[in-house]
Amino acid sequence: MHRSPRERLTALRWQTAAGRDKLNRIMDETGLRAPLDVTVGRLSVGERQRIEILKALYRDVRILVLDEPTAVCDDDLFATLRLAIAEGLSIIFISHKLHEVMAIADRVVVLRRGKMAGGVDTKDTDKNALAVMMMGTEATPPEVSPAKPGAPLLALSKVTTPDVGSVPGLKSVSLALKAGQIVGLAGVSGNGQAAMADVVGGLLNPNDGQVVLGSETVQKWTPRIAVQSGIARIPEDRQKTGTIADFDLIENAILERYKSPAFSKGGWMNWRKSRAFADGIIDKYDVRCPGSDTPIRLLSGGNMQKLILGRVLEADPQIILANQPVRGLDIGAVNYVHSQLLAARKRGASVLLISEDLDEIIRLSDVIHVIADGRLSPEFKRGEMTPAQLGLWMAGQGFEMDVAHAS
Amino acid sequence: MRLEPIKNPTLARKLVPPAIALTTTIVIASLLATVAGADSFSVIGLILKGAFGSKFAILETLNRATPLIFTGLAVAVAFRAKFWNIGAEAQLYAGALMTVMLGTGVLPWPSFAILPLIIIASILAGAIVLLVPALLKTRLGVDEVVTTLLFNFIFLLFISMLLEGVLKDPMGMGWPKSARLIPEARLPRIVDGLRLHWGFGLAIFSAICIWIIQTRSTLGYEMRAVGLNKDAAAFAGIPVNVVIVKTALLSGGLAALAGFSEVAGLKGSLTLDLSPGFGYTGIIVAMLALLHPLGVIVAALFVAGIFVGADSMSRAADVPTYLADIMLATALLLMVLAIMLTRFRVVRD
Repeated sequence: MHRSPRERLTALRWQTAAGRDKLNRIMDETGLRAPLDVTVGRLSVGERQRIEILKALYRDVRILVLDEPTAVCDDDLFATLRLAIAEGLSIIFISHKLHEVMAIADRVVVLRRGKMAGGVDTKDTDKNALAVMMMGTEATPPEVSPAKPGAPLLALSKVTTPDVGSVPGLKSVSLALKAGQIVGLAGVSGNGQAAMADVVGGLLNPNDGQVVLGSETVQKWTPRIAVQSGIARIPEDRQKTGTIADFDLIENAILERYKSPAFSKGGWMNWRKSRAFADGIIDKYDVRCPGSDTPIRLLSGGNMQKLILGRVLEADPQIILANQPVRGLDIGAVNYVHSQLLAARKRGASVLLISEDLDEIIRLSDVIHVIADGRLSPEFKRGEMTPAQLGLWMAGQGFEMDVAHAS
Repeated sequence: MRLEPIKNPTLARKLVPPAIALTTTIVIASLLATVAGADSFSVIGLILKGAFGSKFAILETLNRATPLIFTGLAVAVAFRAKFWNIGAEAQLYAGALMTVMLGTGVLPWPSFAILPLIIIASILAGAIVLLVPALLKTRLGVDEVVTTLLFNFIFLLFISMLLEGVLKDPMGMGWPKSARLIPEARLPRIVDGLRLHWGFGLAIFSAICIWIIQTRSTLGYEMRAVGLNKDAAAFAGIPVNVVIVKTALLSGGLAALAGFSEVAGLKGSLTLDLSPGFGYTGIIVAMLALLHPLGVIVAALFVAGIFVGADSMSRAADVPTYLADIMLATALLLMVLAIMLTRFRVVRD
C-alpha cells in the first residue's frame, strides 16, 4: 500500500507540506473543497462529509464505500465521483434516494429486510420499478391539495442574529407563517437555516427585530415557552438534539413536556401516564420497537423520527418547525412523515419546512423562501419558480436586485 | 483488541468478573503478606475476621462505611449530571465546621431542636461551598474539576487556621482541636452500649431518598437528561445551568453530612485528621456503585470492610499496615476492571 509522508508516526515533526500538496492537488482535480486548517468539530456536517471522502481519495483507495453520502452533500459530489470512476475507482454507493442511485450507479442492488430483493442495471430500470422492488409494493407519495392559508400564527419581523464562526446568522429576516400553509425554506446548508430553526424553536433570542406570536410580540423566548405556545419542533439532528440515546422511549416521549400536569405534579413524575402516552405514540405512529422501555438508541432512524413526530404532534401544535424531517430516512418513512405534515396543514396548522432537498421543498411547500448568506428571498408561490431559478437564488443571485427594488 | 458492549448480559456475566476480581485481590494480598513474613492462608481469614468476624468488627465496618456512603452519594449525584465534583473533602469539612460552630453550646435552643438545626446548617454549608464552583462553571465556563479539587486544599488550610485560632479549644492543652460538642449536639447510638451511631441510619435514609429523587422526581429526570445529553436537554427546554446548580447544592449538602456525622456521631470535636480522604474515596465508592444510590451503600460497605479488615489483619499477622492500602488499591483497580467486563467483552481482531 502506498504510504504518504503524513503517515510516518515516528517522525519528530509533522511532515505536513507533502500531505498538504497532495490534498490540494486532489481538491483541484475533484473540485471537492474543504478547509484544511480548521478543527473538524467546528465544520458543518456537509464539510465533514467532504473531508471523509477526501480522506479516502488521499489514501489512493481502489474501492470506495459511500454510505448515505448525499444526506448532506451537494451535487459537486456526483461530478467528483464520475471523475473518480473514470480513473478506475470502484464505488459502492448506499443510498435511500432513488434519483441519486439512478444518476450515479451502473448497477443497482436492492436490499429489503436484510434480503436481496433484486439486482438490475440502471439502464434497464427506472425509479418506479426500483421503488416497487424496495417497498414490495408500489410506493405512493402523498397527494398535495391546494392550500387555504389563514391568519399568520407566527411572524418574524426584521430578525437579526449573530454569526457563528463562518456560519452566517439571520440578516433582518421577515417571515410570516400562516395557518393551513407549508412554508418551505430552501438553501444550501450553512446559510442561516440553523439560526432560523433556533429562533422559531425558542433556542435563540434575536439581537434585533421581533418574534410575533399571533398578535403579541414575545418578550421572553425559551424552548419551553415555544412548546407551550403550540410550536412543534422536529430537530435537524434527531440523535444529537432530538433524543437522548440512553433514555427509553417513555423518557424521550415526554422530554419537552415532562413539566406539564399530564406527566408530573408538584415535582414528582407520573410514570404511569408517561408510559401510557409513549405507548399511545408507538401504536398510533407505528413505531417499531420491542417496547416502550427500550433505549431509543436501539431504534432505526425512521422509528426514532416517528417517535419525535408523535411527541410533537400529539400536543395538537399550531405551528410546526420541521428541520430536515426526512434526512436519512427510507422512502416509506419519508412518505409517512410528509403525509403527517400535510395532515397537520389540513387541520389548520402552519408548517415551516427547512430542507436541503429541493425536490422535497418544491413538492410540499405552498410558499417557498430561499435563504442564502442569512438573507431571505421574497416569497415564491407554488409553481412560480423552476428548480433552476431557485438554484440561482440559492447561489446568492437576485438578492441585490431585490434590495434595489425595495428601495 | 477492542471492547464490544454486551446488550443483554447474563447473570453469570454480571457475577463472575467481580468474583474473580475479589479472589485475585485476596491472592495478591496473601502473597504480599507471605513476603512480609505471615502465613498466606491465615491472611484471608484474618481479613474477614477483622472486617466481619465479631460484633465489634461489624460495627467498626459500619461506622467506617457511614461517611463513605455520604461522600459516595455526593459524588454519584454530581457525576450522574456530569458535574465533576472532586471536592467532597472540602464540603465534608464545611459540614464538620458548621457542626462544631453550632454544637458547642453557643445556641440558646431547646435541646430537641439542636440536632435538626445543625443538620440543616451543615447541609447548607456544604451546598454553599460547592455553589461557588457551580456558578463559576455555569457563568464563566470554569472547569469544575480544577476548582473543586483546589477548594479541598484551600478549605483544609482554612480549617487549620481556625483550629489554631478562634476555634481552638482553650482546654485542649495547645492541640489544634476544637472544643467538644455538648451532649445534646451528639448523634445518639442506635443501640445503647454499641459504638454504632445514628449517622449510619441517616446515611441509609439519604441513599433511599436520593434513589427516589433520581427515579421519581422531575429534578432527577432533569439531572439524568443533562448528564446523558446536554444538547438534547437544552433543546427540549430543560434549563441546563439551573439543573447543574441544583445538582451541586444537593451534592455539596450530602458531602457535608459526612462531616457532620463524623463529628457528631464519632469524634465529638473537630481536628485536621477528621477525614483520611473520605471525599476522595467517595469517588471510588460512587464509581464502584456505577453511580447508583443504593449501590453506594454496598460499595461503601465493601470499601470499609477492606479498610477495617486489612488494617486488623496487618496488626494480627504483624505485617506492615501499608498492606491494607495496597490491598484496597488492588481491590479497587480490579473491581473497576471487573465491572467494565460485566458490560463489555474483549474481542480479538
